Amino acid sequence: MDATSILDDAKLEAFRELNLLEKHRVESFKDWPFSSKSTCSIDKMAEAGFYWTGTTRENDTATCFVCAKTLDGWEAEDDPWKEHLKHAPQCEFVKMGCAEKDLTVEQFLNIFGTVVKTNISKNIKDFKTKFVKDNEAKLKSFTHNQS
Amino acid sequence: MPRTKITKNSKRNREAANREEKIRIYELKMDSVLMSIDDLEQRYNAMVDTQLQAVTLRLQSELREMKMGDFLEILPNLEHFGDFKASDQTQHLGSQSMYSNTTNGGDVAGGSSTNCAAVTAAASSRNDEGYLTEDSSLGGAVSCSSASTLSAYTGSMLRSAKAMRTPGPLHSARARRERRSRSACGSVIPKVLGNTSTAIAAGSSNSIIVPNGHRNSRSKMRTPMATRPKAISADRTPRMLKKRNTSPSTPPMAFLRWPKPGEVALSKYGSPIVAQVMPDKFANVNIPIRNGVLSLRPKKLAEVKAELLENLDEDTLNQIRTLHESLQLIVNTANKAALK
Repeated sequence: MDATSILDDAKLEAFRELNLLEKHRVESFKDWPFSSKSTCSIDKMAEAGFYWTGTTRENDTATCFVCAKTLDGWEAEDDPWKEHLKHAPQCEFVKMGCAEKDLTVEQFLNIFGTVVKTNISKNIKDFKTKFVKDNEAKLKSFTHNQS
Repeated sequence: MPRTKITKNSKRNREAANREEKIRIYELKMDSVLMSIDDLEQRYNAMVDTQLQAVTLRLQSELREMKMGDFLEILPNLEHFGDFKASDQTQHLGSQSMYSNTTNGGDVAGGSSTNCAAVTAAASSRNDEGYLTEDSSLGGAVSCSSASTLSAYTGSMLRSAKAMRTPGPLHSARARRERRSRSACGSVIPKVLGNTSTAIAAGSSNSIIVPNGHRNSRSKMRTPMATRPKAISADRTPRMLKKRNTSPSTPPMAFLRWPKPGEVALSKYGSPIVAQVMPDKFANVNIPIRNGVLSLRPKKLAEVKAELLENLDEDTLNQIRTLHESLQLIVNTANKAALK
């Protein structure tokens, strides 16, 4: 069984970066102020699509892997699904409203597509911002040198 | 002897102009780079969609409807999606590579350029060792269209049938050109016909279009040279005089005319002409209007030139509307079928 689970991990490891799987989202929580008994335990957060984006100073920050909504200021009695729906009603994952294990493979593939596309768009946007910034700096030094 | 006085600051002026020119070029380049990045983004996103659609189509419906919880449980036993059997999950079928297509989802973003045909072909063909060959692409097309309706069993039947293909020229080679004698009579017409599509698509200059493209039968006796198309037009204007040094390419919508009866069409950097027999393999629309033809090809149309539409009358416009609705219906139905 160990061998297969290692194999399993290897297959899915490629998706860790996208926090696509509940398991990986659970593992993303390096720190979390609430116990496993509270309504927003790590397991329940991960089930509702959140992965940890906190820091040592602000350890209660989490982000949805589909809509990228980041929420902090959680309280022990908050329900992650309800908060997700309240703050990001457009999120495809929340709209389906069920945990990973209850999604059909087809639904999951759709979510997967959305996540990959969001990721592409985000990376391209980041690159563009950096590219424009770098080149504007160059332009500035060019015009300054001349005058 | 007096000479032209050169003002002292002209050098500085020149430098300033140079600088402005450089900045202008910078802005232009910047814009175009940003645009091409946007373009890339769209392409990658479209690629993700195509790949996912291909995967979904290939999935057996039991697997597609399966809950993720169960799926993750059986995942360690699956090397590929194709390995899944509704009855016996442990049976391995062999060299199907759908799984790797999804695990490489990140690679799609990184620039993998396989398309739908390649995906399905790779998954459905065993004897191509993972390369996209003509055989596999043909087989892929077959299984792509049938995947949703046929069971995996028929899929493997198709595969084994393909493995037994008799050696010989590839299908495309056979279809492209029939074996014919090298006599003038035999070879002239096919060659000319082959050129017409490029002549229309690329507006390429020195190709000759035979308006009536029937193949001359070899059984009839005729002077071979008589079938060679001759240019009748007296227009001998050298092409340089027209000052069209950009490569001419047909826009998505263009105004063409039909050749007159018996006329041999010759296009030398002129407006492209429609041959009466359209040998095109792609979907296109030709709309006869008052004094010519509007020819639409499957490229994106950026703008409609007003002068193209001057000759549209009410009837034609209504007909186009109907066409538009029909096309829309086809697209919608196809979309629905794909999303089902």
